[in-house]
Amino acid sequence: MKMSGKMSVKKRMICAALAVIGSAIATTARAQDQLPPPSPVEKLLAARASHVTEVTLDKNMLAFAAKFMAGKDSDKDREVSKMVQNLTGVYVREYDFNKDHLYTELELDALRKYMQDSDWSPMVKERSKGVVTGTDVYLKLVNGQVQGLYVLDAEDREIDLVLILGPIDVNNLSKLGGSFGIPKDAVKKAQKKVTQ
Amino acid sequence: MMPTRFGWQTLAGVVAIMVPAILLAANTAPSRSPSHSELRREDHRDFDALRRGLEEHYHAHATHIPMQGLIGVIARISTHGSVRELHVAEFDDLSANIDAAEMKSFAESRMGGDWKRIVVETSRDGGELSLIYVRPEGDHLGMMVLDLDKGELNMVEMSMNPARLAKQIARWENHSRGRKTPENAVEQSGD
Repeated sequence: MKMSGKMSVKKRMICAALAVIGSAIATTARAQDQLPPPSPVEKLLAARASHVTEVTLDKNMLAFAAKFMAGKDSDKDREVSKMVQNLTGVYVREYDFNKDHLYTELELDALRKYMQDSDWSPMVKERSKGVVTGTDVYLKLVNGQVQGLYVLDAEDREIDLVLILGPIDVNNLSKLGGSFGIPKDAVKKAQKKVTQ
Repeated sequence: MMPTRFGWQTLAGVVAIMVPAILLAANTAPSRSPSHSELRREDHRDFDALRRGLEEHYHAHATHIPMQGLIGVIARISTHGSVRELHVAEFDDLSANIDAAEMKSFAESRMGGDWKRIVVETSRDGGELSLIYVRPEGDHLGMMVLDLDKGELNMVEMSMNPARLAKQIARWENHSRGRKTPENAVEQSGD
């Protein structure tokens, strides 16, 4: 009786340890899959913008979207569907302004810094002298594989933020343009710059 | 009182139209587990709760759209069950000065927690707001759309199977182009 009691305590301890490890793994996996909370700068930009578009799709929604696209007839849709079914998140923000440069260099810097951590590498930094406009592309590289893309495209009257999480074929990136609110120009530019 | 000959003819006409429609709906509707039907009722409740909430909150009335049920049946039949539910409401007497952000918060407070917002489109000066919410409903996807434009609000709620609907759309597109897909080729040979 005593022995079985001891065993059950041991078993319980093992179970507890497994549960802790399991939940830690699940939390890590979830953290990698989840879209980050919006940067505080986005609120400031939204308050100034004349038109704001926000698209947020998590893994489940992308899986549904992939199913929808797979059923379509065009080759492009099928290719996009293949790419989309493995993605874990799409986050798009588009701010249109009534006047030129209704944002500051500091705000753009804050948006760039928001994505800077060890996994993300700046791949493209395009600037023109004397103006705040420009394009930044960051790639998330895990074991040499592209697992995420962040594009910040600032134009005179528009700022586009595109964050795509999950395995990405950079050569087919522009095909995602126009789907899920992803601005065509921003991803086209990003593909061109990254593959150059 | 026995119906007149004209009455019988009218009755027969109604039966002749409704019976095939009901049978077709029954044949083409996807098989559903009880939980799906519960979800469907839940969908409708969310839509009604939101509509009523908006009516109370903004002291407005949704325009009565006649034969909503029939619209849903037609949507289901015409899409071969890909669109399972369809509800529409229209408010055209809202104030033009409605705060879009406030409406968004209000709508979200009235909707069930399982709806996920996927699209928000706002304009600062025009009181324009577009919201799209989705939630998985078994093999279907529930979608709620709210579109506010200068005092006019349109609400649409539907439950659809994206994969089947996409195939259906592809078939329609192919029919209109006169092309054959494996599905419509089988269908044509079967006919």
